[in-house]
Amino acid sequence: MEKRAAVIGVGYTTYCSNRRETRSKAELAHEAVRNALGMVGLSIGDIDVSVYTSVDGFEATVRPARMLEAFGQGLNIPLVDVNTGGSAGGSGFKEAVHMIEAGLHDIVLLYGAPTFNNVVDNQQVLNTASPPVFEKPFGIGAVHMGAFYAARYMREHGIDEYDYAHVASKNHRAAVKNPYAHLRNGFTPEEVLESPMVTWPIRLYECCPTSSGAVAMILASEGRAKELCDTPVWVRAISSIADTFLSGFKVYRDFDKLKILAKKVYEKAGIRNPLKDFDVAELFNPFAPFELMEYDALGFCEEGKSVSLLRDGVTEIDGELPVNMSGGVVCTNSGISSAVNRHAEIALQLMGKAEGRQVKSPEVGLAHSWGGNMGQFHTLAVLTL
Amino acid sequence: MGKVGIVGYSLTTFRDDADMSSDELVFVASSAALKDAGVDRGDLDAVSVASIDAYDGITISNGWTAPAGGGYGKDATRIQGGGVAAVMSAYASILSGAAELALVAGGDSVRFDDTVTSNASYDVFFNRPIPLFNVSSYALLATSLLRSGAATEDDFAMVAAKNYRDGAGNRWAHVRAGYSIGDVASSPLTCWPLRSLEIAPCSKGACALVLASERKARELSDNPVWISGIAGGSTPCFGSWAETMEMKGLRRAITRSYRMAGIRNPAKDIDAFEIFSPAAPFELAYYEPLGLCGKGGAPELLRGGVTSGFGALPVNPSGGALCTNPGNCGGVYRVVSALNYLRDHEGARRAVVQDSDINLGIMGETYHVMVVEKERA
Amino acid sequence: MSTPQVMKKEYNMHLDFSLPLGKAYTKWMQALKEKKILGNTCGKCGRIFVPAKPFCEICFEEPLEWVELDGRGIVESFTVCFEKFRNCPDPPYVVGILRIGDSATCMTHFIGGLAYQRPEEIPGQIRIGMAVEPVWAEDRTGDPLDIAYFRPVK
Repeated sequence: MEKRAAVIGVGYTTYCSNRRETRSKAELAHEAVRNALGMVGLSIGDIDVSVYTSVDGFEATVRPARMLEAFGQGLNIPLVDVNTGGSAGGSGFKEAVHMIEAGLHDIVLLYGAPTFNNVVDNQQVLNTASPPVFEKPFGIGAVHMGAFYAARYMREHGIDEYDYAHVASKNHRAAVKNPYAHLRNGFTPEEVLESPMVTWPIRLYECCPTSSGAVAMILASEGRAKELCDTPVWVRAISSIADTFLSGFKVYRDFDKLKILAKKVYEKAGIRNPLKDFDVAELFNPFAPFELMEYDALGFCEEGKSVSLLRDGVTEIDGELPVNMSGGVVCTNSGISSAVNRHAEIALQLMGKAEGRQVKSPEVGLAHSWGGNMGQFHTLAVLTL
Repeated sequence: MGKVGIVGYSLTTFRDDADMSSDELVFVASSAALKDAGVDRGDLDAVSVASIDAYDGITISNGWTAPAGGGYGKDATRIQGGGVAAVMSAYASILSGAAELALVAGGDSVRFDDTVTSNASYDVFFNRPIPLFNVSSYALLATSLLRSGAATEDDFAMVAAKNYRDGAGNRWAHVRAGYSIGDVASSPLTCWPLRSLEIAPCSKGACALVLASERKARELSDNPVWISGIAGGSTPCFGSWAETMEMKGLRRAITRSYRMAGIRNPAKDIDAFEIFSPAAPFELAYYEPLGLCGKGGAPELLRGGVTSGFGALPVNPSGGALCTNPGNCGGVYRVVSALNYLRDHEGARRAVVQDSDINLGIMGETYHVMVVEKERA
Repeated sequence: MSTPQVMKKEYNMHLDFSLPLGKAYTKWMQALKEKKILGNTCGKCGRIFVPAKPFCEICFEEPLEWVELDGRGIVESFTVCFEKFRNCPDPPYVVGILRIGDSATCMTHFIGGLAYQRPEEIPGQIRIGMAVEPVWAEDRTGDPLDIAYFRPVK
């Protein structure tokens, strides 16, 4: 009854500032989809269903997918539209996997939209995510939500400003090697510390940019995957978890829901020692400090000890568990494309196709996405060869 | 392939205005659905919300309604293409083994202007500036039907009156005025050729379904309702007008869901149809693709009373969208209406639910069709 | 590298909404007009909620009992905004995650009444766990901003 699902293709466009973007949404979609199909030698007619992921409000369009034709609508291929905020890429990936495992479809196209590529004032848009009655009146946008976590975690564990700058710098340096990253400045920790404070304790170079660019992935059922691809990347486990809508029970000292989700996903995937069992990870870090909190929640280290992993180089390219060798969301944030990117990056790493940023022979990878008001949703996927 | 059953459901009465917030409404429907299924929130594995941000007035609005569907601490998602698409997500979740019990819910509380909302769903270059919006797009289709001789304005009024008559007898429906053909035909012209009473209202309310794996469904019910077929199809937005009128996306969804369910002769095999017809002409246009008649046979079927609530082939016995049209939970409402029909009519065993996202207008639309059947009549 | 000449279209999306607050939120907001901070309680688990909730997410029941709190709370987290964002207050301003009384949930609100020479000093003025109390606005309409801000308890 349960069939295995695998990633067999990834297609990227290049990424740039959304202010400098000259490609239309339709052109970006077409390019990403064409590139993904090209990797496996399929045509659009081979797709059974397409999954589109974005956040409508950020695109200033209600249901933007309807007005794009890049997903096979011309051949009447059904379009499934998933919007769970920033985690939509992970939720969409989960939809694709479930449809295949359920035996409903054999070949699924997943698209991560360049949510921000038309936006004139990025913060204005991001500030709409705040619940209208209880939180928006307080001038809270995405970056403030990130700051609540970064502030508490810092105070809780005596973490230094320098450590936050260091983890940001690790991502910036990694992005220099990634031809698909947006920001490739390679900032040092000192340069990060000199960048302006946006909202305490988050500095500008610890914040994600607003990028434009798109990603498409092709997933397939076991039989078709083995026919079409030499190195299918199997989805061993995927799930998501939801928190309360408002601040709720959160005290922001950790990603407690991610910890619960990790336990569930690790059990399904047979992961016992994450630091040893994973060869590569892509964690959602629109604000660099999140990466440290994610090390804790995902069990890479004891709670509050994330900084020692960072300082010991454990999560650098030659470390025991390279994290965010793509440069992460802090270097490339094309809206919901960012959430799909985490899965695409892991797939490319396992396929040995992560140009410039390839980790040595990874076999088991972890992909994470995060989103919603105050980080309401997390998704987590374990991918293997 | 394994089976997925619907083991519980609930809905609120639909009205002009809600006195509850969206999360309260979804909570009321969801907790009642769980009770109806004989389970509680602790038993749930997954929640699938049917909604779009623009109908909730909040970006990432599923944040607000997923916990209201019992999703706190659980695997929750939100599907934007209509209730049946959200059902399909829960269905796949169960068949993949990720869930044994899943809840699908939607609720409509917030007032919005659906002309502005639907206009904002069109592309910025060609259609939004016109401005094209849902009703004007429906009217374009209506004109094509008239001018091709597929239907008359009388037929539009007749199918509307049929829905109103059936809705008057439905205690959950929003509009129960039972408008006559005369009322409809004399209602003001909104977008020629469509009159105001030929166009669905905006309704407020909520509903929820509880889906279960085969094993769980058999534990919870001695006569479960199975989802025996489910499929989708889309139409391109910038295709030819002929493509829009041909509705190949709808046909794909129908053909594949019927095939899955083993439906060979819809007129014989199906006991009732709940379809999404936000303007009277759609219902007529859908009879033939649904397999109820041959090309051009829709008016005859309608005029013969075959598709009325008491006819041989009831289509929209609930009164359809003309009587009840909540933007978020419309698809779930259509599923609930079909389930109510199967429960209330002795001998009825199979129903078809047809849903889409054309509340935002046609062109670029996606359809989902589902077949539900009781184990025993 | 030269950018190809491409046309751009300016547009925006302006949507108006009217949101019924429902029973729980309405009662909580109306109490603010009278300078009262209420919480409601889940009959099953006993958790108190400030702001009030229409249902307990954990027990999935409507909290039917209401309590009045003195409004004092503690800071669970905070941020100090230094940059000007559109539709947001002029910086610097402080937003806190505040736990009022024994509430199981926290609410967001401004922290004010802090003394400082330079804005950079502000983060140092605020401790996690610091006690705060509400300062009420003169004009109250049944809105979270009926509380102008929370200030440190002396």
